[in-house]
Amino acid sequence: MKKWILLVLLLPVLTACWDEVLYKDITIVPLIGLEGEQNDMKMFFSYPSIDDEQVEYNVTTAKGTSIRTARNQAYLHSEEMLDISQVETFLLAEETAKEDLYKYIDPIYRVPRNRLNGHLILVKGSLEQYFSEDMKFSEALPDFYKGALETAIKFSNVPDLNFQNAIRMYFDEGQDLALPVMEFSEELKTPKISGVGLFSGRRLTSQYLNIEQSKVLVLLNKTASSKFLQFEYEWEKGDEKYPLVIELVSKKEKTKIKGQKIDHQIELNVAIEEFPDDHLSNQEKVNEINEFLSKKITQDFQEVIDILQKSKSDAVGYGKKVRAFHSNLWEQGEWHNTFSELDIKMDVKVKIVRTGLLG
Amino acid sequence: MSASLTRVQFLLLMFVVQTGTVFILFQRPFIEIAKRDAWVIFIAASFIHYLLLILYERNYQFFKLTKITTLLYVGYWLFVSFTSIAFIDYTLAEWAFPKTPQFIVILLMVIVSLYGNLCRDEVIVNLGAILIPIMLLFILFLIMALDYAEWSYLFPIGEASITEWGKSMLKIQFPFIGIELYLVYRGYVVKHQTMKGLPIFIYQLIWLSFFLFTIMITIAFFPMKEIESISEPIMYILKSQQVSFVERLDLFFIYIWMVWGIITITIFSFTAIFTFRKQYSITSKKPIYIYHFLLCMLPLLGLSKQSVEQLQNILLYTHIVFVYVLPFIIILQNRRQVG
Repeated sequence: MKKWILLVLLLPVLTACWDEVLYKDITIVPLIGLEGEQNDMKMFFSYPSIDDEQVEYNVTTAKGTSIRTARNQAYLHSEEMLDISQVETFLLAEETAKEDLYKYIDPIYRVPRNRLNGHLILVKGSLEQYFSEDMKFSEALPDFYKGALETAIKFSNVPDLNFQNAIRMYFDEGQDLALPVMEFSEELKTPKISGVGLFSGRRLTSQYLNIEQSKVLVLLNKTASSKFLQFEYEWEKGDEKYPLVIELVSKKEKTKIKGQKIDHQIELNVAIEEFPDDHLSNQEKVNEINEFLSKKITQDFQEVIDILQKSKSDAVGYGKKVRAFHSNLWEQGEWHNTFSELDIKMDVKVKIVRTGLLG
Repeated sequence: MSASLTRVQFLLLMFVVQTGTVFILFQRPFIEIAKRDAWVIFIAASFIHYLLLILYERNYQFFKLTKITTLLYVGYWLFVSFTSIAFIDYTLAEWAFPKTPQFIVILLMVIVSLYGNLCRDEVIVNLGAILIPIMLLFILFLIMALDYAEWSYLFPIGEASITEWGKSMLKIQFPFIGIELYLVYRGYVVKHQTMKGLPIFIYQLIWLSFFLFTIMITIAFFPMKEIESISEPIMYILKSQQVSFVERLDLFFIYIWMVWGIITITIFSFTAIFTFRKQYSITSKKPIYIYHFLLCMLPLLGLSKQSVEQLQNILLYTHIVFVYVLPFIIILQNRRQVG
């Protein structure tokens, strides 16, 4: 009897032993791709395998009605037990993203053991070429995509949206999602980040922002990082043209919403990174450049806002403020329609606060 | 009970019991109804909590249970305990131990409670002290999410209808669960330490700040539509934090929560057994074993999501009886007899 009691008392010590998952039993998939429509999806899995003490990345594909079913199909012709709980990069075909995005993120979002710090990238064209073994990189395929995106995020070329932040924006009625886009460069024979794809509600629109415009979006979006944000312009002096590269130092902004009008005032403090014409110790010249940059940047910002309005995509998140503090405007109708008809005026004031070692 | 309590011990015991299992459970059902008004409604509801504490303080000496009311309260505390165990077990199965047989996890919780109840009374009274650093860690982890909070999500307010206020007031009773223990243990606080005035007010402030913070961070972290699709938003906030020392912060936290929950269940069990033994003048340890046997068996009846939710809904209604109605009747009756 005592033995039985002891056995029962020891049982709880085994809690969680049933849930043990050993790395030797599974293969972590850091890169996945998805194309097609629901009920007819094609998934790509890039996973490591050890051959002669060297890690090599293989690619396998599978079809299914969902991510889970495709993965289960992949088991049938793969020697590995593919585990998608630690996906770092998820390539999604742009045609697929034109459907409700949530269907594809749900299995990543729902399961507690899945990591949420991976990133989504939209890709133009067939996914086959993005997983092709013919591409020659100095690193493994998953590392290339992860590295390319991380660099683009670091230099504020695209917004930093991991799965958690992306899904949050997806659910937010006051802000639309804008995801990084990759396209295949015929010149480089490799994929490259080319801008962001704009969502209106839960679907991808056919409008994109190029890298320069995407930087503006990063700057306008308070949730995005703008640590190394640079803008490039040309300064004309007589017949000569000089590059003028500036880097953001700090930003102040104010949004005034009145009736159907939004006045967005931004003050940018910038540092001159490149300007061979020099003479920046001359205050008149500095004022002239400040004025030039203010005008140029206001134009660029206004252009981005116009694209957003045209595509009914509030990727800046004006809707959040409108919903919170301007209920009359919010309740006028569906926000995307209201947003597209607003009179949004950008006013950017640039001030050079650093000129580098040269004056 | 052989031990007497200091004011701090008493308030710590109250805080542990009131937060224990409910602090990750009530946000979603409450916010789902109250929407962005949730934090305003909670502040309003906190006045009821404060009023209850003041009323309990004034009348605790008249809260004398009879044999029948003792049985009713023992049944209620047993119900609170096994509903909590069922909820913890279901949540652990979802988040941490999907393959572990659920009765093993139940056994783990009940054995700790059994051990605690077989020890001296002082052990139970001081059990909450081990939670103090854990509570601070939990708050620290949540503060880390402030960077991602979108404060415009807290507005607009004032949109909830009267019906929604009514329904919210019911759902907000979760953090009130356990307040009746004030009446049970107040008499054991050392005589020279008063509770009136500042001590109760400070306790009220701590209780309010703790729960209000969890409500506000939940609203500010998730868009309203996302909250509706997540069962335990606090867990999810922790899951989305990235720290260098642990892969999944939510797992780290779920063990904290489990310890917090087990201690709460142990205190509820102790209260039920101690009240029963005192009322019926029983010195043997048989009620402890019977109570824990029931505690082990009853949660097995409701381990599905639907059963857990049903049990929680029933708990809210029974809580109203045992926190508002019965104490009022008992106190009134005893006051009359004294008068």
